[in-house]
Amino acid sequence: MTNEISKKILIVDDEAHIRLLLQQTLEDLEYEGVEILSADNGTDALKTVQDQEPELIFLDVMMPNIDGYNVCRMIRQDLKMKDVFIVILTAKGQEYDRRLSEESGANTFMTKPFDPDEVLELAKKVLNV
Amino acid sequence: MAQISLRKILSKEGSLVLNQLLIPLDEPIGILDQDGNLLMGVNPDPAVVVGEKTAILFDGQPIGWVTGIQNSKWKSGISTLLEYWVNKEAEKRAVVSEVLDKYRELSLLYRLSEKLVASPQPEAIAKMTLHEVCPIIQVSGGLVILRHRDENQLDTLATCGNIYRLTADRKGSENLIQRVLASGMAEIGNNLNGEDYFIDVGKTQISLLCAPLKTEKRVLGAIILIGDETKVFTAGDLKLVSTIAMQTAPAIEIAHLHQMELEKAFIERDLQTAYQVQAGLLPHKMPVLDGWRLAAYWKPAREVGGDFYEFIHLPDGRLGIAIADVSDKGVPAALVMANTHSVLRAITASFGEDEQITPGMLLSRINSVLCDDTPMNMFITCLLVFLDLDSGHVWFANAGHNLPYHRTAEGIVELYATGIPLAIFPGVTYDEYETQLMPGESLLMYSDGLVEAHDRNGDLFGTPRLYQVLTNQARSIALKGNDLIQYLLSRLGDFTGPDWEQEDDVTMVVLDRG
Repeated sequence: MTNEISKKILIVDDEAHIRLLLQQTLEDLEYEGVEILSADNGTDALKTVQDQEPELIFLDVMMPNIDGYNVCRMIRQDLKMKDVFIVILTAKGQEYDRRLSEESGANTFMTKPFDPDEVLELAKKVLNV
Repeated sequence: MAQISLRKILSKEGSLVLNQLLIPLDEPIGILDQDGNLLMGVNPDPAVVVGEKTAILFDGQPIGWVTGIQNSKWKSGISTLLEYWVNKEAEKRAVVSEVLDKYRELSLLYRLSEKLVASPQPEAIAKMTLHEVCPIIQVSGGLVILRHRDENQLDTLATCGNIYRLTADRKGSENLIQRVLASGMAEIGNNLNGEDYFIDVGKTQISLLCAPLKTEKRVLGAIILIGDETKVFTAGDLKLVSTIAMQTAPAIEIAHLHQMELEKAFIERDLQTAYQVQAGLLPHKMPVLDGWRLAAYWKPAREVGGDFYEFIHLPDGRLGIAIADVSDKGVPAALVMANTHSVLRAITASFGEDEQITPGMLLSRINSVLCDDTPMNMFITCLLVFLDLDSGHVWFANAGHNLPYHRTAEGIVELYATGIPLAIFPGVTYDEYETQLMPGESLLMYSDGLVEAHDRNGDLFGTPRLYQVLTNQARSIALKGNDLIQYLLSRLGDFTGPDWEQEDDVTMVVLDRG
C-alpha cells in the first residue's frame, strides 16, 4: 500500500453477482492501492461519486429508479465531473445502445458477460497502474 | 487456490460482529495477520509467548493468529469462527473464479467467431485460433496441423509459444495425435514422453491436448496444445478447445475451398488467355483460291491443346497444308504445338524462291530442329500436303499422322503414307507420295481425336467407321467443306452420345476441288 491518495473504482450494478465478479476481477489493483467501491442503485451511485470522486466507474444500464444512462448524464452535467472515466456495462450490445451510451457521456461501452481480462486491462490503463 | 486475506474478511462482514463479540469478553483477545500485525482487539501482552497464539488455518497453513491469556476460554472458539468465515470466503471466491473463467471462455468464443468470419486465409485462421486459445489455457506452445487429403502427411499451419516440431515417426496406436486424427475424438495426455512426439525436446515430460479439426466429412487436422511437465490439462480445457476446434474447422475448410476457387479462377483466366493465344496461331481465315475451297475445324479437348493446322504459300505458287498433333493434351501439348508451329513457319520462310521444296524435305528439316527442343516422351505427328492449284497434283509426306481420305468419283480412298513422328529420332527422312485431285473430288485430313473417341460402352469410333461414314455419305449428295465437317461431327455425336466429354483434340481440314 502506498501513502499516496488512493485511486478509486466504483462498480454500480443492481445485481450482486455482477458486483462480486467485477470486484474479484479488479482485486489485483487493490495491491496497487486502488480502492474498490460499489453501489447497487443509481441514487447511491451518485452519492458515492460525489463523496468519493472515483477515477473510474463501471456502470450498469438497467437499474431500478435511475438507469445507467441517466446516472451518467447526471455525473457529467449535474456533478460537473468531466474527468471520471465511465464504462457502460450492459447486456445489450446493439448499435442503438452504443449510441445512447455515447450520448449519455460515457467513455466506452462493454457488454455482459464481460471479458475479465479486458476489464482489468482497461482499469489499469485508465488508472495508470 | 484463491488468495485469502484475513484483513479483507475482517474489514467487511466480520468487523461489526466480531467487534461486538470481543468488547464484553472478560479477557483480552487480539486478532493478528500472518505477519503479526494487529487487525482487531487488543495488542497481545508482551509476556504472551508465541506458543500460546492460536493459529487461524486455511488449507493447513496459518493465515493469522488469535492471541490471549494462558488457558483462554475464547481463543479457540474465535479461531474456529474465523476459520469458518475464511473457508466460506474461499468457497465464494472459487465460485466467482469459475464464473469469471466461463466469462473468459465465452468472450474467447465470441471474439473467435467474429474473427473467423473475417479471415479468408487458412493460415491466418489457424494463427488467430492459437493466439486466442494459448493464453487462456496457459500452455508453453501450440500447433495447428493439417493433413494431406491423399496421404498420411501432416503440415504445420501455425504455431504459438515455443516451437515444437512433430517427429516424422507418428505410427503406432500409442501416439495420441495419431489416435485423435484417426478417431476424430479429442484427447488429453499428461506426463508423456516429449521425444515420442517432437524433435529437439529431449527426454522431457510433456502434457498434450489434441482436438480434431473435424468437418462433416473428414478430420482435416488438429489443434495441439503442449504443456511442460507441471501442466495438467483438465476436462474443462478439453471441452473448450474441442468447441474452438469445431468452430475453426469449417472456417479453415471454407477458406481452403475459397483459396482453391481463387487459384482455379486464376488458372482458368490464364488458360482462357492461352486459348486465345493458341487460336491466334491458327490461320485467321481460309485462303481464297480459284477453283478450290478450304474448310477447317479445331477444338482442343481442354482449354488448350496440341493439334494445329496451317496453310503455307510456297514460293513456286503451290499451296502447302499441314495438320499436326502433339502427343499428350493440355498445356504441355500446347507449348510444344506453339513451338512446332513456329519451327514450321520459320523453316518454310527460310527456303529460297528458286529452291525446290518437297513435303518430305520439309518434314525432315522440322524434325531435326524439334529433336533438340522437344521434351523427352513427347512427339508430334504431322501430315504435309503440297497442292498444285492448276493441275490438282498433290505431293504428301507423313510423320506418323492419321492417313487422309481422298474422295474420288469411284469412292473413298485412304492415301497411304508412313513415317516416324517428329522429335523422336534425328536424321529421319520421309518418303513422298503423290496423287491428283480431279474436279469434284475432296481430301479430308483429320487428327486422332476424331477416330479415337469412345462411346458409352468403350467402343472406338475408329477409322473403319469413319471410312464407312464417308463412303455412305459420298453415295448421296457428297457434302463439301464445312458441311462435311458438321456432318462428321454430327455422326461422332450420335456415336458418343450427348454426355460425351471430348477425350482428345479434334482437328479437320477439308480441301475440295470445284
